[in-house]
Amino acid sequence: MPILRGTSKKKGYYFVIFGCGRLGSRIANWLSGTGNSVVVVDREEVAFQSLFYEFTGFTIIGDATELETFRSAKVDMADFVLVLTSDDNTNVMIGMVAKEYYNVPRVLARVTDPNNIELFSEFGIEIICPTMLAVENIEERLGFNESDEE
Amino acid sequence: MRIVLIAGTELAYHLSRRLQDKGHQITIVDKDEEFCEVLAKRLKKATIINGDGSKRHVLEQLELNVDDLFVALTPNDQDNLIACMLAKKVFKLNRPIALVNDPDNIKVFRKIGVSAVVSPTEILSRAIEDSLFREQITNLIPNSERLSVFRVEMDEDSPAVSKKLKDLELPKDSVIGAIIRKDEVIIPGGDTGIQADDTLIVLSNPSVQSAVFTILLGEV
Repeated sequence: MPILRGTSKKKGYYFVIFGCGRLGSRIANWLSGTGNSVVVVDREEVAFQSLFYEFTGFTIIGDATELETFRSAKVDMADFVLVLTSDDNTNVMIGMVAKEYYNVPRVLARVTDPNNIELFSEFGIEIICPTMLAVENIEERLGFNESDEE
Repeated sequence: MRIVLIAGTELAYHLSRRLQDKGHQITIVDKDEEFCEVLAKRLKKATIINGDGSKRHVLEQLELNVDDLFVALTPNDQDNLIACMLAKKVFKLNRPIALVNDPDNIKVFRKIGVSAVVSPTEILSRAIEDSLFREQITNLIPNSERLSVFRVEMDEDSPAVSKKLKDLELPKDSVIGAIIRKDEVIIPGGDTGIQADDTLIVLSNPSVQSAVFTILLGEV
């Protein structure tokens, strides 16, 4: 599957990642290691400790609900914005600002509460729900879907 | 009319007291259970609901009606935005009102579709600026964020009087666009001198406006 639908292939993409927790830092390390430009934003400086020594991107300490933070992260230039903080409402607001205000081609936001998925999908951002992914994975392992178990 | 307030801050309490007196029916939704109990004691006539007002299942309990007035007052802009978006999209309320803590977010809220916004920060900062500025200074476009346009009245003691514009050392990103002298309007150049009783129209980037005032009028 192509990583980036709707963007032209070039040497590397410009990613802005909001939230440098367990998920954010892993994705940042991976994207940076595969030759993309990466900017990671988090409110807490200690969060950046989980980035690898080889991480070549930039880190920005800032509150992602402030436009100033979007400006310093140059979100307007981004090919891709990944919103991975731990708060659903924050993620959706960041996602909507990236999409509606900065016209970022692709915006992916993490939403933990499955009840939020339907509503937030209407707002034009792509949603990833770790809870539902785990649910699906568990269902699959338990064999409740129509896969041919031996 | 029923008024639904999201977040039971002190602000919500005082608002409720006033609105109740005018005969409105108040419902307050707040996350903090203890504070809900306090509110329930203080506001005997209001309905207090413990829950996160930016969650759909909480709002569903309220049985919202399209005519209800919905106000999101939490200290977090993101929660207010989501609560109002829910009220609008899911519950079809006409005009939910959002409190916006960071004035920069006003344009974000409007762009996303929450057009009724109130920013206490902006109201306060305007009040503070107004009381800081001397009577000689009038903000001509108070709503402008990127450009400051001020009318500045010179008197005999103003440090800029009897100087030429080019000698004033005004900061970059600022310009004296016009001088009103008696009934005449002068578009000044570098050699134009400033006289007592001139009125200057000053355009600048907001970040340098106070530096401009200091040069023209002395320490504010």
